[in-house]
Amino acid sequence: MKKTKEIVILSGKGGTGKTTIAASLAELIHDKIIVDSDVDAANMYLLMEPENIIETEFKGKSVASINTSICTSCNLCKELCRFNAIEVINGDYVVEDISCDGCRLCQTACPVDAIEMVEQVVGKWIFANTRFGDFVYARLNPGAENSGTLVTMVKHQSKIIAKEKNISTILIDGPPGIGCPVIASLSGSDYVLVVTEPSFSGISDLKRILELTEHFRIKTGIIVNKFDINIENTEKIEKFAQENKIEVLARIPHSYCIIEEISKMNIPSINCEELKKPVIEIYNKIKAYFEDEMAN
Amino acid sequence: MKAFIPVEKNEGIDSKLDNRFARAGYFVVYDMESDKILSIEENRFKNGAHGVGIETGNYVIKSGCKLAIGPRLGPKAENILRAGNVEFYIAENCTVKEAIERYRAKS
Amino acid sequence: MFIAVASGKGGTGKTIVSTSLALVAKNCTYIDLDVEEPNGYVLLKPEIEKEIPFNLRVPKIDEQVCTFCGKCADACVYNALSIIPHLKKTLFYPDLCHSCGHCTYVCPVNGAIEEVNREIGKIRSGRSGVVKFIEGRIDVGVISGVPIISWIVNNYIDSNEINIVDSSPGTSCPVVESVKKSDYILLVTEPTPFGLSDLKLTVEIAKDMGKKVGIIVNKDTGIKIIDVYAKEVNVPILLKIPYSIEIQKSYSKGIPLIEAMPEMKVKFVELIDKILCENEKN
Repeated sequence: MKKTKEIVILSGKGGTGKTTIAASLAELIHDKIIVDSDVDAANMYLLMEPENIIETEFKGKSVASINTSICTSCNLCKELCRFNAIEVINGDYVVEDISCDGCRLCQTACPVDAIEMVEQVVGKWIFANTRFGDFVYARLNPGAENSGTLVTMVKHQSKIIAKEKNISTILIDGPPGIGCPVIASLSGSDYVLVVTEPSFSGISDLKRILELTEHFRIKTGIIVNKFDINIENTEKIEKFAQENKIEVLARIPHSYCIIEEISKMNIPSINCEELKKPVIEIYNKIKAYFEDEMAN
Repeated sequence: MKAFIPVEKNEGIDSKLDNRFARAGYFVVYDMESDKILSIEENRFKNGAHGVGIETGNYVIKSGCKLAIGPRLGPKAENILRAGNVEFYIAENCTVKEAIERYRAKS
Repeated sequence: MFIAVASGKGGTGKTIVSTSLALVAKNCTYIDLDVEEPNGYVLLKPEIEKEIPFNLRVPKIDEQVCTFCGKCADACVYNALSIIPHLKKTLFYPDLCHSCGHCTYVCPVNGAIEEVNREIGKIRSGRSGVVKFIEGRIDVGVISGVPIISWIVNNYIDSNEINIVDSSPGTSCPVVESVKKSDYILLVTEPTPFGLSDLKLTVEIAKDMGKKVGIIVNKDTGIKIIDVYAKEVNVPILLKIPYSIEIQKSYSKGIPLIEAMPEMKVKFVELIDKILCENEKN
């Protein structure tokens, strides 16, 4: 049995073109499962035309709930709560779900055991077929707390499918930032593609994410998107990459074609030459890396 | 000495190591002296939301294991093992049996 | 009045919009609550007058007093504590701590846990011409921006003045926290299916909270995808900013939109007047 390779696409901040590149790579790689682990703003499904959708509810954080028939209104929970989540409405003590952090202090402190923790549905994970292959993604309910758990769940499901169907690659469109969902997306992966822009925060965004990939010792490659918006910053990024011995896989120009194609819900690399070329380059470099790895 | 090993499924000595440590399916506790599995239990932390690596690290310490064999943990969880004088040996894509053999061959 | 500028995803132009509004509203306070990546200062170039640390209360365990019973670690749902009884060691992971106080509450030994300050970010304030500038920023590695956002919202907003808040992107906790007390939410989006999909989520949240909402279409290419949706849910589109590589270039150099494209200035003046006027009617 072949070992499944996991490729994760990340960026220090949102809006850098992560999904565009992920979808373009998805079009090139044959034998694969596509995963969108940006559960906060899952967008890739828009380009994938998912069919035969199976949705499963996902429970996340627990919040406190006060049983008003037991509650003696001693006010202790309200005094102790540091999230100001307990309110008195018409004389009843009520927990405001959105503010409750789930710390359980009130439950511990309640002298009459009137408080229990209730698990909340925070989103759902979804399995679907697409013309590009099987697709696993998730949606977090608006306002819910984003955690690594939903991401882990999504990745786990994709691995089960990869194993069953003997699929060689899992391609993951990761979340932006450097938080817990990013770590959950990274862990256990084999290759990380970091998409960055030559904006003023580009380098600092990049540094933050490279600290993570360094720790997990995952092979990392950089893609500079919209490089021609600020050549000076692009060169700074490339110099930084060189100093840190990280390969810059490709430069992608700013392009009106890409925006137009996305507006039509097409995968832009099919019709936009300026994207197609670098994406093929990226694909070939990743392929070569994995072949080298196999040979060693 | 006892060893702590995260595995995918409960298949005894032939259980495959999970490539996620803290969110593994099961935890094996293996006795290196008698060469026997002492326990295999389901990982009850795997669906947690916060600091699952640390929770698992704490659990390794509580279990009294002095060796952990598996994939890399997050920085904090590895730090717990270090603080608790738990030796950490990295092994992936193998069974419990093979992991123990690899560890012995190395040391 | 409290105007929150928000967007479902990053990179839609939230900062361009909020800084432009602040520059035309003049006597107002601009508050950057995009605490992970506050970029408003690059465009507003404020003179910083004050920088204060923002602290959370976190536990400090005195290992001379502690009995290593482990109750604190068991109580912590965030797994921010490890107790190693046989080596008499304690470990604390400040970035996982939510400052809930549960560990201190359950500790049976007097004086074993003391709460101390942990700096998780900074609040900077100053002036950019007539605009008052406030910015919250969390340190790298700090996972949640919610505490600093909620502190700034509760302590820095004077409802008698015009406050323009650059919110966190996304649809999760931090954005809810930063728009909770707002009078008006301006949602910045782009006319792509991605923009629309994220816009829908944010409109949903805003409507759930009973807020007044208006849409700003950035990077307008003439495609009417947002117009159709806006009509459907009866949310006004207040402004369209044309798609232009020049805007992106000047942004990467830190030049505010209304300077790079003076013709946009009039539109922003109209926009702020409209919002203020509507607010007065109520």
